[in-house]
Amino acid sequence: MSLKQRERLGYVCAVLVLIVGGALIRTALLNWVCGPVSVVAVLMIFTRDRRR
Amino acid sequence: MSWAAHELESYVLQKHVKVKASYVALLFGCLLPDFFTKLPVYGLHIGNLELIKASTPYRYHRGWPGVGPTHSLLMAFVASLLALGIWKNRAWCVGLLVGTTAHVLTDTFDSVGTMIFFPFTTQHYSTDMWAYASQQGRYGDAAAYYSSLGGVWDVFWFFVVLTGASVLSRRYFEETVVPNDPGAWAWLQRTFGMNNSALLAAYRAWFIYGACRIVAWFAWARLLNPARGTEVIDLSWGGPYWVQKVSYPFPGWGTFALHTVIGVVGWTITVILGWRLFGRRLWDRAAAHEVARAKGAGPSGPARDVGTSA
Repeated sequence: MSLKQRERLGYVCAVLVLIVGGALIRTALLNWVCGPVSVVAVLMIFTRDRRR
Repeated sequence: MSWAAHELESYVLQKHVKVKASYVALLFGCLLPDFFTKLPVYGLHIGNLELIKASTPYRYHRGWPGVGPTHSLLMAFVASLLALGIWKNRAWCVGLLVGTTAHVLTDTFDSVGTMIFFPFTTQHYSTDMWAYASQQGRYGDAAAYYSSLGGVWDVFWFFVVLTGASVLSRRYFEETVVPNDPGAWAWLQRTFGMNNSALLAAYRAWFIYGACRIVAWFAWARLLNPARGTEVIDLSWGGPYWVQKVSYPFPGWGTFALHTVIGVVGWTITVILGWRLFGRRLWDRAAAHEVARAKGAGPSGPARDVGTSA
């Protein structure tokens, strides 16, 4: 999978985490600091260099 | 108060501010008035325990006595001067000034409004577009906000960002956002070991969060809220009608005009004096510091390859 595809998948997952976590679980943990940080964390996981 | 507008407006400001401004500072400014003040508004709940809860949330959040002065132009001015004094960074000064001012003005649209000209007047400025309802708790506030023009306000900012969607592109990030504040992005990359994809995601994160917040809370308010049958959509000015709206009483046009004149005059004199006594000196010092840093004489030179895709 190319980096661009992994990035796209990462963004889709981040959106799902925020919407499902926000609407269904309604966790206060997804606040305006932790919510955006979760986007970065998901992208870091999806785009990490696996050759290392 | 706004639920997603503050996050979204930072991208609009980044696009339209015609002077060099740090995006990180713009975002920080857009969030700053609520940064240390929001928690007691809804309270911290651990099990059945309610901790750090303001007795009258709207008075605490926007009033005086309270932390209402965080939502004033003075806060924006002081924060921008502090950025000049502490970080010697003009892009941070501009970013904080613009971002914090935007937050102060955006919050004038709910029924409580903000004390724009504090401390010269404690007059609240409000357009009363939607009901301030934080006293109903987090869920009550969400239900009221996303059943009123407040939700429309968030959607409006979402589409304003999308009309200039290039602001979210990788190219814009690499060619404008990073060069405006290379130090901050280099620090992020260095400290958290971010690759370029994660760094770009960090820039886009508050847009994604804001957009998802609109969808998630609107979905909850309209589809999952147990009281959705009675807590219906009401797009009338100052709505929704079914929530207990809080606001400060209007003092009458004469008093309002007098307070405004006092506020504008006091504010103008303060800004002129503040600039002449501190601002100009700090600005010139920051300019000299930036030149030295660019030449590599400073403690840390800008990382020119930050965020650029290989």
